[in-house]
Amino acid sequence: MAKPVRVQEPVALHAADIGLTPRRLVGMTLSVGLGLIFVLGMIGGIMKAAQGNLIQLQPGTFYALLTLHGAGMISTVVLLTAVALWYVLHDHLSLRPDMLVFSVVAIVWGLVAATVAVLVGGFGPAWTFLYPLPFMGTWPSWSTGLFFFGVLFVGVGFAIFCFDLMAGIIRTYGSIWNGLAWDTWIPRLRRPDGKVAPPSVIAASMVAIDGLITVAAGSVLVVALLAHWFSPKFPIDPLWIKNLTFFFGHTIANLAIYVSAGVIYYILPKYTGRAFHTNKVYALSWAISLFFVPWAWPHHLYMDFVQAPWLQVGGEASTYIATIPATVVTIFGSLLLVYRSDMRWRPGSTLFLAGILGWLVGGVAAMLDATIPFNAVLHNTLWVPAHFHTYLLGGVFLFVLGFTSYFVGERQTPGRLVKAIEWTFFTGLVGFLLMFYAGGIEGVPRREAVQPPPGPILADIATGFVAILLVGLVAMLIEFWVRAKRNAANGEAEGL
Amino acid sequence: MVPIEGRQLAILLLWISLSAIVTVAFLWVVRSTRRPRDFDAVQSDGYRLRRGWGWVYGSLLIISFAVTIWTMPYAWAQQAAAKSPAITVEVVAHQFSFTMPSSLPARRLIKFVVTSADVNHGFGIYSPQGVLLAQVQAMPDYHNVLYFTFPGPGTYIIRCLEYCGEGHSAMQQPLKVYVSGSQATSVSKEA
Ligand code: HEM
Ligand SMILES: [Cu+2]
Ligand SMILES: [Cu+2]
Repeated sequence: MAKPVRVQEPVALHAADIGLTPRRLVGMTLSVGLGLIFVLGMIGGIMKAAQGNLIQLQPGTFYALLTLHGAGMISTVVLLTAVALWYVLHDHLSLRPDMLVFSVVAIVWGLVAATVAVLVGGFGPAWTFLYPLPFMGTWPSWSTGLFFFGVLFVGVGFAIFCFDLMAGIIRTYGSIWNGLAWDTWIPRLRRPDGKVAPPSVIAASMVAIDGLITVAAGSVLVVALLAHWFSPKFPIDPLWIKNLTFFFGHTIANLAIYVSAGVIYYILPKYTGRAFHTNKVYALSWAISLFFVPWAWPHHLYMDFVQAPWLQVGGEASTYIATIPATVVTIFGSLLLVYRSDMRWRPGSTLFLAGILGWLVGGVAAMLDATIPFNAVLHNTLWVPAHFHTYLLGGVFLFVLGFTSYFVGERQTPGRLVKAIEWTFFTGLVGFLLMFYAGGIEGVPRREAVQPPPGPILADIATGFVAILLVGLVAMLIEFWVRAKRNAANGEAEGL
Repeated sequence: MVPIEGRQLAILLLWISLSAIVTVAFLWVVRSTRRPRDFDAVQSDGYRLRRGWGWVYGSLLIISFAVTIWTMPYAWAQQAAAKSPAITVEVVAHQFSFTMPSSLPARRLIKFVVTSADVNHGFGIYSPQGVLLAQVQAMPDYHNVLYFTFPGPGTYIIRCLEYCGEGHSAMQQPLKVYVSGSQATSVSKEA
């Protein structure tokens, strides 16, 4: 059953007026986003094949594709998780579909601009576009400016999403502090009716605040770079801009996981028949995330020895502290919710559980990398893409797929077929990731069109696994599609 | 294959064992759903376990943090440990090579002062067997100081470890390391 569209305050462009129910809107965004992930995953496979000398790519082409893959994947995953969180919360919080439309459109336009800059202009300073490389490459100046405008659009799209979340939370719970459930600690804040925010709203509140801070920093970054682009006399300090770049880049990628946590809090209870309840521990844990996640970026600058020592040591401490809420509360709590529950094992629940494991294993690898003496031999090796693919591809993306499976409806899933698809997909995924880790331990640098040994051999093996992974992914997406059509034809929608 | 030793070995063992532990715990939870039970019955045990896990995890973090403070690669941590006076070597990275001496002595403390003439680069030291031993960033307008002692003679490789443009993966060069004493005079001239 399609969700009814609530009557809301009059707005200029009402999504319902153009025939877009929240369900259709989310369904369309999921389709576009998942399609994009597949295409960008193919580009990933092409990069691996080139590193394994199975195909020939000019270095310039390789680095352009690397830039597109990185920027595209991060933006798309942020978009997909945001849409999933929006969907599970829009009833609770009366979020505005028109705002989501603006947000999606801005992100898609940003992606289009970045794609043109890369594919037509050959823009290729990698997705972190570290100053001054964007201005000293082989690509034309227009592509540099266009790419920065693209990034700005993606940032604006995410900011619109955060504003809408924040407004919705304040409308329903009175203040953002109550959205964070600080009223469980501070009786003075308590609402007269005693209503406290559920855990997914707490996650959304954290994301809204830190998301806006991140976008603000990202806007300063991009505006400074655009100013330098207009007038090269505009001075930029390489160390300052590096800090700003990683503050923005790290935090926005990291937030995708916190957005997903909000979705987990909502979806996992549907499969286990048990509920997450807000209490003081959840409130405290998310307050820790709120404060410490934005302080973790210095772990990207450990090898910049001129950086102030307090930032280096503080960055390690903040990174460590930021993992406590995730491991002790969200992941432990999710496993407790599953433990000896009457769990309905469907494609969606399998994907969510597998994603939690990816989050954990990638988290272990991230912690090792965030430990300074280890970082000295891991920084900028393949260990870095190894760990973040583990929790972005093997974590956040699985949550997106799990949400999609829930969204299209889990009724009458073809059990045997699904098992085969899952085995294919996960075999490819695990093999692909293991080759990244092996390369990292062997000291193979990341971001290289031509790698020292044993990079090429590992890349050959990884290419095979990528092929298996992509076959599994296509099969899974087709199965979702078929299920969506059938369930819709039967007038049934999301759920079990 | 590059030999796995030193820090890399420690990292690999830690990652494998920690990942194995979490995976086993995870699979155990997944299997437990074959014997469903009321949530109330498991919840209080769960909360007690969570408290224990919180303490264990917190202690691990504190220990790891304390240990790493003393092994940081920064000048302030390394200078204190250095006994012999260091030989100063300036390194300037460009798109796409390093300007630096082509040979240096083994077993002598070397103070690399690293900067860049254009974009960000990385300065990575690889052993003759290909093991990554140390690195520091090469940034325009700044000088990063890396203290390093080559453990023995041989042909080391200096490799760029920060993406710096089209020639990035070709940005590497050999560095001859000899037993100190034999060519000491030529080094002090170069350095
Ligand atoms: C579908 C399967 C995927 C494949 C085959 C793949 C493959 C790759 C490869 C080969 C690289 C280059 C690594 C290097 O040598 O430095 C890379 C980098 C990267 N990938 Fe993926 N990837 C996949 C999925 C994802 C996903 C889902 C995300 C994010 C949500 C992602 C984000 C990134 C980022 C941010 C980079 C770094 C780009 C840079 O260095 O500027 N990838 N990926
Ligand atoms: Cu370089
Ligand atoms: Cu380089």
